Amino acid sequence: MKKSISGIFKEGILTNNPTFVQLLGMCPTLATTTSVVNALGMGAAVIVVLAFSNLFISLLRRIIPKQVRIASYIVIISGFVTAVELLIKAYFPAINKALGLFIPLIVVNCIILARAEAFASKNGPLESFCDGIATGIGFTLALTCIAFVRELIGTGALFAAADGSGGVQILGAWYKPASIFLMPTGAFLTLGCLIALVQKIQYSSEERARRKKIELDAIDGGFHETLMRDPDTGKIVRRPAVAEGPGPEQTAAEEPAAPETENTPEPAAEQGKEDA
Amino acid sequence: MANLNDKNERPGEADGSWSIDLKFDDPSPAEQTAKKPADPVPDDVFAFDIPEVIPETPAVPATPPKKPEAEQPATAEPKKPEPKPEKKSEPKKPEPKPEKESEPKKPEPKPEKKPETKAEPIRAEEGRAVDDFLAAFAPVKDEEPKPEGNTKGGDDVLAEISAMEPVTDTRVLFDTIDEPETPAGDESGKPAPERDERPAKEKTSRASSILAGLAAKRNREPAVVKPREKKTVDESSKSYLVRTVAVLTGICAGVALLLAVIHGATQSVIAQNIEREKNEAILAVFPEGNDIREYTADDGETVYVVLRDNVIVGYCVNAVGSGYIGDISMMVGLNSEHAVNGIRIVDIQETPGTGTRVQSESFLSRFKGVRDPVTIGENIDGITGATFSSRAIAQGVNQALEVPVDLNDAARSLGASLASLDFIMAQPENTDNGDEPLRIVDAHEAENEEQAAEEEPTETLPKTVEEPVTETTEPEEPGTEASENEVPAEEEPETEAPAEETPVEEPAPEDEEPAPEVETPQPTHPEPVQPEPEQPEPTQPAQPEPTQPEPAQPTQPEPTQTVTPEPEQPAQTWTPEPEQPAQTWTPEPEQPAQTWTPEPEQPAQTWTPEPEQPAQTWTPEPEQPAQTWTPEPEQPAQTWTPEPETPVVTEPEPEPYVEPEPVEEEPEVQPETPDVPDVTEITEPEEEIPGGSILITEPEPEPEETEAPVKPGGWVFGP
Repeated sequence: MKKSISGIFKEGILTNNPTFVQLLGMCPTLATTTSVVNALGMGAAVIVVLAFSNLFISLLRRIIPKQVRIASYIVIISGFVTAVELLIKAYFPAINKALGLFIPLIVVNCIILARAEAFASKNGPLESFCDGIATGIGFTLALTCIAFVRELIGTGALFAAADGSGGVQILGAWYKPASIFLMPTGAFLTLGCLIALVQKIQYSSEERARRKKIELDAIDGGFHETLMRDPDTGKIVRRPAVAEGPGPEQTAAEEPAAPETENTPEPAAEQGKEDA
Repeated sequence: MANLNDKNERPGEADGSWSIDLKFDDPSPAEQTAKKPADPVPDDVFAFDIPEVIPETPAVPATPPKKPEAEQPATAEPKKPEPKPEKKSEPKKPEPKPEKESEPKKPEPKPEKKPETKAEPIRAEEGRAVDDFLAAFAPVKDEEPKPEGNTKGGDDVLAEISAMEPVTDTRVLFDTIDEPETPAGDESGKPAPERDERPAKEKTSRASSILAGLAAKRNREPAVVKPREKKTVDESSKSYLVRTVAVLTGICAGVALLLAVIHGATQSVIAQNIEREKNEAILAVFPEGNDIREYTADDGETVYVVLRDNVIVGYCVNAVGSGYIGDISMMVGLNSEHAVNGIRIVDIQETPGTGTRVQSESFLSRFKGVRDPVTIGENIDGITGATFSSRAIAQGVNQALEVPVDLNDAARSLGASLASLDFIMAQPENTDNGDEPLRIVDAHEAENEEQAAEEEPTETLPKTVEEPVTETTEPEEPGTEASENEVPAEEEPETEAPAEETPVEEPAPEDEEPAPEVETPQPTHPEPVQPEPEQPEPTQPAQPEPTQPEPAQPTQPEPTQTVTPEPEQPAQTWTPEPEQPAQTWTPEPEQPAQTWTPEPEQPAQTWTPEPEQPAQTWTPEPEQPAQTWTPEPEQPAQTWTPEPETPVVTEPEPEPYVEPEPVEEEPEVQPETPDVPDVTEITEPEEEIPGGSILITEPEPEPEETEAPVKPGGWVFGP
């Protein structure tokens, strides 16, 4: 069951992305992605909360009674969320102002509890901590992607500060911002399109990996006699019917080939001799 | 891996598993085919395969003996007995199988192993251990068609690969191969005895040992399962309950400790942030302020008094209006005349692009100068598409206007002085614009009823004005400004009474910088003090006048409603007067003659709007009588002055028309006056004012007889 750290990160960020694949935590996803800065702020808060709640839940997983585990998780999670909220209020008042209620609402974010229940309660502290960071990064990446699209289309600029000031104007004056993308409608549109895109990419890559695995399995799994990999195309083809066994046959086929190649120069030499 | 497998199973593997099974099935006898028809469902059916396999096992024992006997003499007769032991071991399997999920995979390999065994002859060349196992295991179930199965299998697999679906098959093959390798080392304590028993029965054959390994593996798994189940603690025990409580308590305590530490570390910083944010908002409303102090209003609400050089510029109220999405928190700045000076949105969560437009200066500036509660759509235009947000702003402004703040008291408690000429001078336009309609209404009232006393002075004004004109006197020039009108009334008495002189002095100190008047400037503080003594002398033979007259609104009404209120309101009227005269003063001395000419013109202008909006303004007035008082005297002066100067003007005519309306209302209100203490209070001040005028000597009889009763009515009507 134990997974490698790299596998945890790959799964949390890509293959099992909490937003695009698991579709968890949609409320903050839709609400806080009006600007890239907001998305990054929200993502950072989630990363911290997720990592530390995972860590402590993993440490306490053998102590917490099964019947009260959810309550225990919630207490731990809410504690870290409150701590993060206080820190943000103290040192990032602008972000706190922009994100408003959604920081405390991290407590009930499905992602946090899902990882606590599905991973942290069954794995060691290190794995759980890494899983929290990986999932948090996946969440942040998803938010940033959505916010990127929404802010670019909605305002024509990017990276505006949390209070709406600043920002880098990307699109020229000719562009008339479509403010609908800053509204919930735009959030749903963007999210739907991005999910479709991610699913397409993931499916195609999986399909490729699966095909490769199938081919390998076919050869290694007991069909050497009848199947072989075409050395030219790399595809699985039916082994040409030969009386002899497959192994020797190949070697035999190759060996004769070599002499053939050797033969080619010979005629030249012979010709040369003849010429001479 | 798990993900891949799961997803592989989804799409088309059904076909793959299907086909491969069929291949193997084809060669196999009808019995096996009978088993596999259930397989058509792909890997998902794995779970369902289990029950199918289970029945197989009992069935297998029956078949194998037949097969080896009849079909496969070549494999080896001695091995025939082996299947029997399998039968024995297999029947045991069904027991553990239902318990475990992992088992379903194992039963399947068996039927598939059989097909693999068919390939044995060819594989034997490779010499794998797997082959050995298969070889030993093969004779039990092998059948004639094996070679066909291989070829067919190869063809089918090739076809499947081309179709991209044989995943499950290959995986199954892997599983079957893997299993035989592992069994040898996987034996655990419990299964051992069972395995020992079997070999005891059939010790000889090599296949038997392998099978025993398989059996051991099967047996071992259930053994693994059991301990998992045992792990669960007895939940009914007291110790478990205590442990639950203890753990929860411990977690809560730990979290509380964490939060306490972080809270302690961030508390001061957060407080600083909030304070800084608030101060920024206040200074945005009153940019000229350089000091902010908290003051508790009469209703307990905390307002922020903005000072500049220890002179009160205005105050801010932190108001909240409920917008479309959430509450809009704003800082509403009110100047010393209780008119809106500016608004600053502190917190807003409205819809970006629409609701947030209420933050625009173009919208917020519409509230400047507002003194009375406003309604979006009537007094002020909202923003299209942001109706709720606009209403929220108006709600906040009204909320701020309703906070009773007595700046005199605030000035006293804060040790500051009231009225800053600088501030008023800084925004004369705004105040004029905003106040005009409201003051006009007041003017009507005043004209009709109460301010007869003041009108008398105003009437006298022209007289005085004429006189002062020579003196370059003040009142009329200020007449352009509503507030200035008040001044003339005061100033007039000034000429007569010694107290008047002091007010003249008052403006001077304020005007010190701009206006070099004949009278030398004096400290600003004396101003408030002076009006007080003035009033008490003429108006109030009674009580607290000197001490409480101006600021005392809140305090006085409680103890003695009838007597005390009197000084209060006059005090109110008085207090603004000294302030505003200062305004009027500055321009006056400089260009008295010049200003005179424009005066008649402007009042005419202002008059026209007055009749238009009396009704509207009437409603708000009652709410803030004290505020209205000050303006009233002011405008009557305006109205009056034009009349004498330009009798030809038709505009003054509408005035009388307007007047009767309020008069009608007044009698209605009058009955109320006796009931309400405030009314009595108000009435008294009227008398007092005439008293003040008495000093002037002219107005006394007139106001008392006709207008004095009228005033209370009108004023009472308001509240």
